[in-house]
Amino acid sequence: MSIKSLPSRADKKKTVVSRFTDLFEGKYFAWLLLAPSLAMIAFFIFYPLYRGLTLAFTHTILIESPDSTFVGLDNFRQLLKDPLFWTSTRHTLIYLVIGLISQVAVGLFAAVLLSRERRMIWLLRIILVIPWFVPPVVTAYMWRFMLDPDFGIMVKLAHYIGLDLGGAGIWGDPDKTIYGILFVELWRSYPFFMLFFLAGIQGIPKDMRESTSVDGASALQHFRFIILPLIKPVMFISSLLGAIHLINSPTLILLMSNGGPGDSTLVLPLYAFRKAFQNFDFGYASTISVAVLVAIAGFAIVYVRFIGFGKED
Amino acid sequence: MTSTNENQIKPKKKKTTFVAKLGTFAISIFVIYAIAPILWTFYTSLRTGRDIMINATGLSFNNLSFAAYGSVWRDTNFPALVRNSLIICTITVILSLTLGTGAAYALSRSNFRGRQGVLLSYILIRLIPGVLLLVPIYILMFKIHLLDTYIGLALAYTTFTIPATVWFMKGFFDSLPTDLENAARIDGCSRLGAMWRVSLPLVLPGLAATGTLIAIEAWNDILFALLLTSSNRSRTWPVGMREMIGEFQLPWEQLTATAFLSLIPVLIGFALVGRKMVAGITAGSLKE
Repeated sequence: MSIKSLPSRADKKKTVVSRFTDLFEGKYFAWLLLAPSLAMIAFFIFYPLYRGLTLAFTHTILIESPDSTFVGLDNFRQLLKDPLFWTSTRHTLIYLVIGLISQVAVGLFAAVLLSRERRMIWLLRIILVIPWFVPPVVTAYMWRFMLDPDFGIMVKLAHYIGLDLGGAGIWGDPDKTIYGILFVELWRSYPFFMLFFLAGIQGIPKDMRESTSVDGASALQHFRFIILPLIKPVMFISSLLGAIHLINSPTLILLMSNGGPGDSTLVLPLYAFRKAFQNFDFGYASTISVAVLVAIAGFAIVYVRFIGFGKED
Repeated sequence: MTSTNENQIKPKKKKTTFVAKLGTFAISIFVIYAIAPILWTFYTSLRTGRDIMINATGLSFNNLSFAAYGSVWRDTNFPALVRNSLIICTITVILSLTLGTGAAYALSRSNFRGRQGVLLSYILIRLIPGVLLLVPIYILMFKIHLLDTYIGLALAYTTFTIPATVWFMKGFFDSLPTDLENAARIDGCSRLGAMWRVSLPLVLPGLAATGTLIAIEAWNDILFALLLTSSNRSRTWPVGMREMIGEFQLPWEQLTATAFLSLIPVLIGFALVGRKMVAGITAGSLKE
């Protein structure tokens, strides 16, 4: 780069301060600027990651003793026999699959709508992104209120179109609760996909639509044969990130149902959270988390193999 | 649509206007979908508890008042919690912007060995399940005596916002020409001086957008706050709100008032730099 060949400061007085700032002139310039953030990441992410991985192989229950004893694969054996683990795995899968499909579909639809150039379109884009920035606590209680069997406006509206959500309501019926939360999760999270897809669509040259319409393609055909294939890479990356978010973040479930009623909305991260901060069983909680990590890695590998590169046509 | 003679004469124009109208209609639905819940929450917060009990889903504009806001502000410890949240947000924004901007500048301007590795590690961090880190971070904070302190929570937030900060700021630096800095360097500016005096002023709007994004992230979070705070000394508002609802069976009008109050800072930030923020997110996301 041309910066390197330029002379550094012309008049050098070797004071302590200038000696320190001179460090930034040399080849360590980049590393000096990077060092603080990398140190923080190492200290607060990589070290805890290592600790988490090792804790999974120990017996660490804080209320019994502050020490942890190495127990090898005991926790994992217990995990495989734990019915609650399998229940939460099933719930996690439901949450992942339905959440991902609904959010990608709605996000894609919204992105296509917002991709047309017109006046004030940026304002519409901002408005549609708002739900993503609403604090999860607010989202959770706002929607709990609106979906309340006695006081909820949404329940009343659903009644108008023939959908009966009365009786025990969404929050009292173990079969309905997870779908209620997924409905709220859709409201909150589809803008994430929308932004990604919007960026992808805007990357497509503008005159593309003109040429396809000259060839007689309908808007739908244009979408199917031009837009969809071209934003495939964006869809691929965003779905992976979105899936990880869905598996990892129990925030909405924690706030809206806390795993209940019964254990009908217990997902893996929430189960780990419970084990850690209700039973103080840090070892077993870490084991569950490691299982989540393995599941994510497995999902990512399968995803990359079959969806990422499998369908190149 | 059946094809009549009219349609065959000018099929193209007819079709686009129909599609355009359908599009406008669909966009309006999306706008309502996005903001109606917030408006309904605001409306409920203005009603009296009695009105909500009698006719919760009815729409009437009698007896609306800000009384619920007054009682939330006076009778609960919500103001103290908001103060805690604001302090923690400020520390997080300052730390994250300082560290992240430096790193972003280095990654944008110099081509050193290991650059790709650093960039990759910022992405890989996002793949680590947060729940795996919660327990060890809790233990770590316990050991360095930062549980239930402002700085402890702010450090956790900083760590998790740095990758996004770096990606955003790198995007903004990348879009600046290097000529200006080179000129400054020839005139005797140090490298840090060139960054500070030439580049930073030019990315100020980007810096503001990124800072707002960090602030919103820290303002909204509940998971870490739940974990790392245990008393009113450092507890943030989301934890407090969750507790108020659990303990006191908060009446709906106060609940919705609290919800709307805590949404106001987010909406203000969004109104100020939302456009830049959305642009930054889309630009940054594509490069990943």
